[in-house]
Amino acid sequence: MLTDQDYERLSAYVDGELSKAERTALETRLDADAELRTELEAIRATIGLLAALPARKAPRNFTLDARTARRAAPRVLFLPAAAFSALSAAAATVLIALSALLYSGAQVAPLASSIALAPTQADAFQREAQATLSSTPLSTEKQSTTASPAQPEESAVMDAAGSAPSVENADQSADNLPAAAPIQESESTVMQFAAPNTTADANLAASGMSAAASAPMLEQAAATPVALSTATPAPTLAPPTATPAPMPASVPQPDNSLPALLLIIGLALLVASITVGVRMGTRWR
Amino acid sequence: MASSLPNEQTFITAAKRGDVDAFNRLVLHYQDGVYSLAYRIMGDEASAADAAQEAFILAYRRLETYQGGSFKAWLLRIATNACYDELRRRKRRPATAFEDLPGAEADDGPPLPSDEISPEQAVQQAELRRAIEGCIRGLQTDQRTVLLLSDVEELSYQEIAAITGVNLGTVKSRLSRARLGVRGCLEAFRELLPSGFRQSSNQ
Repeated sequence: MLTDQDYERLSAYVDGELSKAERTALETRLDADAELRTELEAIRATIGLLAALPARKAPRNFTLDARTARRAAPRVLFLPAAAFSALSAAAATVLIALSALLYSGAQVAPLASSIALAPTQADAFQREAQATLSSTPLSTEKQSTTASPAQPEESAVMDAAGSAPSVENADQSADNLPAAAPIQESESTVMQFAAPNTTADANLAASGMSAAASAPMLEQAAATPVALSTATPAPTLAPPTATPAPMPASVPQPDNSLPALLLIIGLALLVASITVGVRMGTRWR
Repeated sequence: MASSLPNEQTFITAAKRGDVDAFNRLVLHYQDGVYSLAYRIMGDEASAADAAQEAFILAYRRLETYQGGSFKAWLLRIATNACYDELRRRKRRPATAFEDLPGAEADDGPPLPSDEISPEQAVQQAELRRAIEGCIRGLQTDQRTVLLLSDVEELSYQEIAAITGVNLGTVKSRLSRARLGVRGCLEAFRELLPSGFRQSSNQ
């Protein structure tokens, strides 16, 4: 009677997978043991039957068409999808946190200067600026010449400023100012132009860019020579300290629809991020 | 399974660069072998076809991970894993476990008549093949896979160990038990077997 080990040895012997010592020992036993020889032949015969088993014909071709091949090559899709998922998750976090902050009634005036403002608010600023200056906000040259720096309304506008494009506009307008213009004046000009642009900033936030994205752009603007000379204390995240004008009482409070709007956009981005992430996960196996 | 395709490495290199036609040349060459393995692991045609298709899609996707060596062994590894994935999915839905499927599968007819065999011989060969496949199907999954990779696909113990993720000793013992199991099972079909087998197991 053969043991499991005997069968294992015979099986490995057929495959040439025994060590030299094991092989020699087994061959000595085979010489003396007829049963062992019979079992060895049975194993060989079984292997022979299995090896002769004809391949089955595939029921259809498994070739890949161009579309399947594209789907099967996720490297192309993977990076943009991952980037979108991560970016929208980050933007969603910022927007939701922001809406909570605004809703909680925290002192928003300094913060609001760095973030997206609702279009209605921006419009209010714009109207204000127009009333004071009686000029078209988008025409940089007119504004810089007619600006009267001491007016409190413009200082108020300044606090709401903070978008990169506006700083670049400001560079141009600063250029147009007389060389003797006090720094304060150019600052006001910078702020004044920022107001109409807050609408664009809000749009940016809605399209998935976080408000923080404007920070590097501001740095860039500050690095330009013109900006260095006049507009250096650009409206960054902190309110300008050199502003002599008192904070006017007429700073508009953000209305209640703003936090709700931010929350909705944030949640939508979160859902988009999760959806893309999950689909990516199922594709990338 | 067929031996390697002539100029195989050329096609692989082209396929790695995204040449789908080159990859499809490899598919056409290996699809019968991959399907056969899948059929014998899975036990029915529909699941085998699904697993084979999945295997080729995965192979295309992971072509970068093929770093030389036997392409057939690399492909069979992916195919084996695709089958195991499918079997795991079925385990979660026991109602459709393949052991319960009645009659397993339709026979796809006798093998193409080769050279000089009579119709009777062709029928007998088809019966023998069905008997052998039935005996293989009766094995536990782990033993079945090792047996197929070793005795049908003729891979080495090393390759089988790499594919199934077990050590050489386990491959050795599973293979031995699988061969014994098939041999015992085939005793019932003695009249179909070639004379050599009958003699050796006739004691």
